[in-house]
Amino acid sequence: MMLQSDITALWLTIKLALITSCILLVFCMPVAYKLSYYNGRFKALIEALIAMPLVLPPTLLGFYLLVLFSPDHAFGQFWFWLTGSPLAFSFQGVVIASLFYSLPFVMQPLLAGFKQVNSTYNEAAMALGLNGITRFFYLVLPLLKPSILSAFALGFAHTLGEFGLALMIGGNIVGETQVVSIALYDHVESLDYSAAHQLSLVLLGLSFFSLVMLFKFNKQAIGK
Amino acid sequence: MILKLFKALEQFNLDINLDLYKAKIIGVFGPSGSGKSTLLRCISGLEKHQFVKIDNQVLSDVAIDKRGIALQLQACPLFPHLDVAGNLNFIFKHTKQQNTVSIAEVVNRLGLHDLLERKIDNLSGGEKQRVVFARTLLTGQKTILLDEPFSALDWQARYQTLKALIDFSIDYDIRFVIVSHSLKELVYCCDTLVQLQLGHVVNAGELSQVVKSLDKQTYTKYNIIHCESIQRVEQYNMYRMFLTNSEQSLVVSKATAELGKRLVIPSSGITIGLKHSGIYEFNTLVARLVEWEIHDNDCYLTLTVDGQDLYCQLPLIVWDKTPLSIGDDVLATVQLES
Amino acid sequence: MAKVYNTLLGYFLLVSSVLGCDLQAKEVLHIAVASNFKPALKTLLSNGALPQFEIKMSAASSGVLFSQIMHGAPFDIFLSADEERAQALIANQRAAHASLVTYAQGQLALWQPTSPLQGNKMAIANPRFSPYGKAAKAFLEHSFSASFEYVYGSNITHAFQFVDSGNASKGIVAYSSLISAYEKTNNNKYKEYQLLDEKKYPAILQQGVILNSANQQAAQQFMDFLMSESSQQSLVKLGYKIKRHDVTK
Repeated sequence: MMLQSDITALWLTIKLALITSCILLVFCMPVAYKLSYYNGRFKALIEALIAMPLVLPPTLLGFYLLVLFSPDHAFGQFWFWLTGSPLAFSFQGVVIASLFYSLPFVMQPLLAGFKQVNSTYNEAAMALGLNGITRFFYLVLPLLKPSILSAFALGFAHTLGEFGLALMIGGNIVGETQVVSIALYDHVESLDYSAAHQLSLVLLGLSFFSLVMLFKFNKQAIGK
Repeated sequence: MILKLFKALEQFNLDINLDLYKAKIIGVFGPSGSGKSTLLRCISGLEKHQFVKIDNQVLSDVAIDKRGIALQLQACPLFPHLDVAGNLNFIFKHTKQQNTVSIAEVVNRLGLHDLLERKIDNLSGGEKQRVVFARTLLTGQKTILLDEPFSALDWQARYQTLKALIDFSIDYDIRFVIVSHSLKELVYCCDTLVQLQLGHVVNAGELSQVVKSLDKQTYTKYNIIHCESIQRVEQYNMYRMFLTNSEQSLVVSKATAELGKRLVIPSSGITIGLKHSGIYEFNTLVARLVEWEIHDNDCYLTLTVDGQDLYCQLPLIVWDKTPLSIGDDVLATVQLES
Repeated sequence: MAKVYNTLLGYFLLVSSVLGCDLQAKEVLHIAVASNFKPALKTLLSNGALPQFEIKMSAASSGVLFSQIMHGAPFDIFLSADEERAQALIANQRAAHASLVTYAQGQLALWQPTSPLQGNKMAIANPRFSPYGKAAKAFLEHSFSASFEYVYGSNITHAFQFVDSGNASKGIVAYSSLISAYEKTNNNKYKEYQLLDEKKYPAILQQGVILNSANQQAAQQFMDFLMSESSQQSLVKLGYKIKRHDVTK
């Protein structure tokens, strides 16, 4: 039988992954759309910036977020003024951290999808005289469906495994910031290996499932 | 169409100045890399940083979807998430012009009934191009630009589609600009030809004039034989086409007759003889030699048949053995393609 | 020419590192040290102490180090942040009971820097596995009837960062962290603490053992150094308490 706290952590992680992937999709769609057209001199710079979370150690990223969230910092003050509660050690804080952490994983498939759709189908429709809104909603979006799904699955799977960031800024609060990876870490640290094995197995299954879905979508993506 | 266009390209400048007032179907040809496709892209607005003025209206700043011009790109793809009918519906529904052309009409005239339910992955190259063309027509635009639209069609299907294109142009008052490397196809359907070279117009005007002045060695000359009436030859299930202002006629198959009153025959498809042989001479016209010219191992003759020019290309060896001089009557045998 | 030189140098280094182990005077000592003690250990060794050894430190949480040792990590000495894990190694026959020492004793401080702080967050190390956290939690439950909004750092340094960055208004941190932070920055906020009465929380005994796989003689020299009067006095200056006698049990 799983521990109650583990079930809470599991549910929290799924919630976190879902919310993060949804927000990222909404944010990345227009950015990827614009970026796929953009060929200016800052292109490499912007793409590198988006890919940065890939190479930055999560604990480092977490440390700077902790600084950013602090009430000594303008952003932390602004957030407090806006919501009346601080960001660190809150679910919202972990969501914001995950947004940074999983950004490249959602952006990349979308960018690739947009590039392909734009260079062939979108241009053909444009030449035929369809306006931008029609093209986007009736052509680009349907054609991009596999890319959107794989971006979502990738963002979801990646957020499931998030550890360093949640550790740095979460404060390990059950039901608020204690995600599965943190709960696992706790079990291992306190030498409770059997609970750790159990939770790992569940996390493994969940990640495996989302990866299977990912490859399924990838196969459907245009161009095969 | 009165067209002024300028765009700086890497290798040369595209600098076009055309006055083709009455032209309805304009064919653009020229060697690869002469700027044909770019010309179409500029007119449609896909390219930026250019000057375009059509019929005294500057289009450079007009948004691509507000120009009233549809461009069918080279190797234009069908939308893969829709079937054939879906592709046609999609464009019909989302182009807000007064849709004078209905889907049924287009499907009918282009003979696409059997394809409607098909997935686009299962279409042959030729079928795809016919559907793409149908889709372009459904934009309802009055100016349609086509970039190598029928390259994958066999000649039978190509002529049929070109015939439909001519009919659409007449019935719906659509102006076409077609870029093609096939002069034969352009000669069949166009009323006006434009020859491009390194971004400049080197030859432009009415079809027969441009054909007449074409460089013989670079381009195979195509004869356009205009006919005025068609009679069925009941007994053989064939059709007799009488030449314009002439008693003379050619007998053609049903498929050819259905393509209209214009026959396109390459200059190498004409052979000449001096006197009647006594057996039935199929599709032989009485013509008069007006001009001849020798280039390398070929002789290029210009004949006239009751007022129509007929170009004929003979191997030099045949010409040398044929005692003929200007003004002589000859027998020209026309080989119609199947 | 430079290339040839580099190649030759490379060969030399390779040969000397393969054959040189016995030739070289310096013996390598691998020390698995709990993260919170690593800075202190570095300070102890900074004055050229133990010149006969080349000391390699691997710092991680005690739990991680314990697991690594259980799975055969090639360490000579384990300096745990608690007593539990050091003794667990003995129970698992990875270390000799005779080598067990309490090399330092942790001190807790309640740190509440004055700042325009919101919230009521109390940062402590995770009481589930950190000895500092366990002690802190025991202290708070013993001394206050009101409960706190706890945020848990994965170790005592992490809890310190929570307060230091201003995200938690107060915390129970290691006295040693405050001292070293003040040394580095001279910022007065690191002085706004209150040492906790050590009678009100269980002793945080940081214990170390020599692993059975180690070169016992060399490892013992290191332990002797660590337990020497001067080392122990230095630790006091760094914010630790010391025990006069080796603990057995």
